[in-house]
Amino acid sequence: MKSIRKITIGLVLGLLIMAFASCKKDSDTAPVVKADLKVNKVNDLHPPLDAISGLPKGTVYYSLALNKEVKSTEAWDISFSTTTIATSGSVQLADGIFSSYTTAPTSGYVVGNVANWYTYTGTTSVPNHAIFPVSGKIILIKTTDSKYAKVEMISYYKGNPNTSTAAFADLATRPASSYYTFQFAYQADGTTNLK
Amino acid sequence: MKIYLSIFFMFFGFLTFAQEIITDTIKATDLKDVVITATRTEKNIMKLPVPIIRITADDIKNRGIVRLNEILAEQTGLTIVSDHGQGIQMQGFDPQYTMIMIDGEPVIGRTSGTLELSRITMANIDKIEIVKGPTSSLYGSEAMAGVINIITVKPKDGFRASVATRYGTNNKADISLDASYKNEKISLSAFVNRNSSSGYSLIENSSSPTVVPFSGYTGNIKVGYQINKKSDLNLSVRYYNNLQKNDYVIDNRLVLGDGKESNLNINPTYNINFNAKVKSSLRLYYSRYATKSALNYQDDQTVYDDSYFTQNFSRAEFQTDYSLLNNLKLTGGIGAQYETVKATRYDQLESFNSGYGYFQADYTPLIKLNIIAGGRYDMHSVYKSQFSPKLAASYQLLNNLTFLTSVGKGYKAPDFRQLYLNFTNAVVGYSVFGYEDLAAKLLDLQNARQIQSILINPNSLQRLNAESSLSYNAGFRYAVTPKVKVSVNLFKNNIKNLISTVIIATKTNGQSVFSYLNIDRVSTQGVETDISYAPIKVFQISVGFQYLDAYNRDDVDRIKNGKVYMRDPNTNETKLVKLSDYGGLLNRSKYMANAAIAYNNAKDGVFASLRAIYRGKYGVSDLDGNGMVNMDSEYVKGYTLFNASVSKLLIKDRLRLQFSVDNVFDYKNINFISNLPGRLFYGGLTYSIK
Repeated sequence: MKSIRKITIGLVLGLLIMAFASCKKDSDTAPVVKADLKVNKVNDLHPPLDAISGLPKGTVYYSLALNKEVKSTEAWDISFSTTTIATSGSVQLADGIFSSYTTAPTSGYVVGNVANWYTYTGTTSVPNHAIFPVSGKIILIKTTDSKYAKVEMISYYKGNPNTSTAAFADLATRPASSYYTFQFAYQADGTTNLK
Repeated sequence: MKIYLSIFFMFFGFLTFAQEIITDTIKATDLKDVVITATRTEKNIMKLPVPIIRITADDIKNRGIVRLNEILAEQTGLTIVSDHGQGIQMQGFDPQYTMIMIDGEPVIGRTSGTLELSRITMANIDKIEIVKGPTSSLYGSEAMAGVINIITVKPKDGFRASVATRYGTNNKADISLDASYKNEKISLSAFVNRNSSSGYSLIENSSSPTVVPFSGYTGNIKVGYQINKKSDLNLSVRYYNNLQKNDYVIDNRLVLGDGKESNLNINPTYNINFNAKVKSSLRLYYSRYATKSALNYQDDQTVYDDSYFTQNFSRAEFQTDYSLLNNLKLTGGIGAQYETVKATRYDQLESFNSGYGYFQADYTPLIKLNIIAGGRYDMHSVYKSQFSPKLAASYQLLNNLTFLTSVGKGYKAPDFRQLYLNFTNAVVGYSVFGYEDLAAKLLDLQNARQIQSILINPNSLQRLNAESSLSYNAGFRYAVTPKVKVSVNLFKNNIKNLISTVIIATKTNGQSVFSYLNIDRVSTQGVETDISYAPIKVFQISVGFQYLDAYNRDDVDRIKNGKVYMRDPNTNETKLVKLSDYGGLLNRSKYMANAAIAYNNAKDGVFASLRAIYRGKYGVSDLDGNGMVNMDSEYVKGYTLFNASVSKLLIKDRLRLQFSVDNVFDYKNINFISNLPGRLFYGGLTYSIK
């Protein structure tokens, strides 16, 4: 019986060591950067509501310089239509935490839409058929008058909802889409400082 | 980590020392049990220095099981994963890394690396041997996680025949007929099996069933001729076909048509014993696997899918075993292989040539110490030559306690799909090109002005190479008392050059061009243990457990360097992923367990069992687009399945009546587990003439 106990102790100790060894140390979180620029948060920007369905339809335009929604005929910097984000100037994506991304690159911008800013969860995931902005993606914009701005998409749904709830997972109770919540910082002086 | 492991091994060393003081005189009972798969020679299971699972025909029959996936699902450390079919996950490896063999010859016909296990019937099976850990030193490519060898029944003296049936929920029917005859010179056997189902839908009233109706046949004819006392000649011909009646809705349109699948194996062998010390065998093997699918829209009869796939595999192999000394047995073999594939998604007939040689020395320097050293060298027409050595040792410290340890290299060759399969999705617009065709195909797209930007220049790439692993296994088998048996195995697999899908270029339609590259480095490590307890002869309790840690080493580095982000689902704020958030490789459960209670009373002919299988939570998706599992919602919840069966033998054990229930508590997960149809009832009837 002694041997059984020894083996048991060995097993338990072994398992504990394995379990302990598999716990890896966490790395430090990103340093806090004190911002020079004002960070603006825009909540639930959406295209005009359709008279029949009551849901957003078409494209909504925004001026980062003026920090307000504008008409397509006015000077706009960024526009949204379902999952298409377009800029009037040029754009590129960078990886990072929004607050600690401090200097815009001077090259690498391409004219056109913002590619790969979201993931689609597909048919089988829970929540399914959902659009999530890719985390850690910063949209860098060079406007038509060569001003730099950084934008981070936060939510594609009305009210910037908690996406881990059962209410969000259920398509019947999920808040309406094409409601854009994002934050941005606009450098008006023409430098690349985005701090 | 390494430090802790060495402490652990040191602890075992101490345990070894401590054990030496205890005198115990219990003898291992199953001395006659031999295993062939682990060394390619007959070897006593107790001495085998590698972890092994052996499943007997009785285990399968008593559980009322008819297909391979059902029995593998109940083994420690194995789990069934669904990806283009039901495959096996072993020691944290995907299904493509486990070789499946019938009578020592590989089964071909994989889809995206998965070999559909339900293809293989459990009727006419003698036993199944499962060797865990790399076995490329004997079997070459694919045997990186291990091998599963299904050994069919050899005819026994005289005439025998039997019929076996099982019928149950979803009109699942399985019928087998077999007959065999053997005398001193000749043996003959014939076997046929039919397996069918009306399919099922996990979602009620769904227009597209989860599994469509199918019916499949397996036939096997074997002929054996004893030429003289020293040599014999054998031929096995095995054929499988399956017909799938597709009927589902695509974009609100009904699609109808047949999916056909077939597999033919022809395997002649010649064995000769030159004398008591030397014997040789010549094995030839031809296998052909083919699928054909013709699906039409029901409304206007236009074609939805019309495709075929044909794979041919031919091999000649010669092996000699030489007992040089009483305690030294040498095994050597050479072989040549020719493989081809022709399919809708391949531009032309593609072929591989390969040749190989293997060698093994089985040395017993001390009565209690057994060392097996071996290796295999594979030469291939398309990728670099591979050498896969392996060293294993077992030490029988006491009659009832054996320690085993092994280290070996495993590899998996790039397959036809990774090299040559070219496919553009007509609906979505993305393209996948096999590595060998990538440069030319990309140029075609560029000339057609369909490429926006090239992210990786194909000319800058290294040629696609085999994936390789270095693996360690160590553990012990211990019969604590004749009634209590324990086995423990620790494993660690370091895999490099893992072939992954990468984006090579972006297209003007916003989609991507994909191909394959050797980029990732992953590791799997853990411990597996089995404990069985038989308080009385007819009654047995067994418990199995596996702890698994499977991770991408490059992902771990990216996290450590602060390069991976996630979104807090409650606040939608972006933050850095910490190592404690990292969920490891997809589809791997950290914890898996099984338990069984069996009552086997041969005297009264009553057999009953209740089995439980637990699979812990596992990562399944990447909702936040950071390339890894890190949020609760990216996991599938853990679950436990219960299976039960009872059978009674009547009329001098000729007739067996059986009743079984799979998934007693009707567990389902509609979103994530498509191969779990809920509770299934079966009734079975078997009659044998001996």
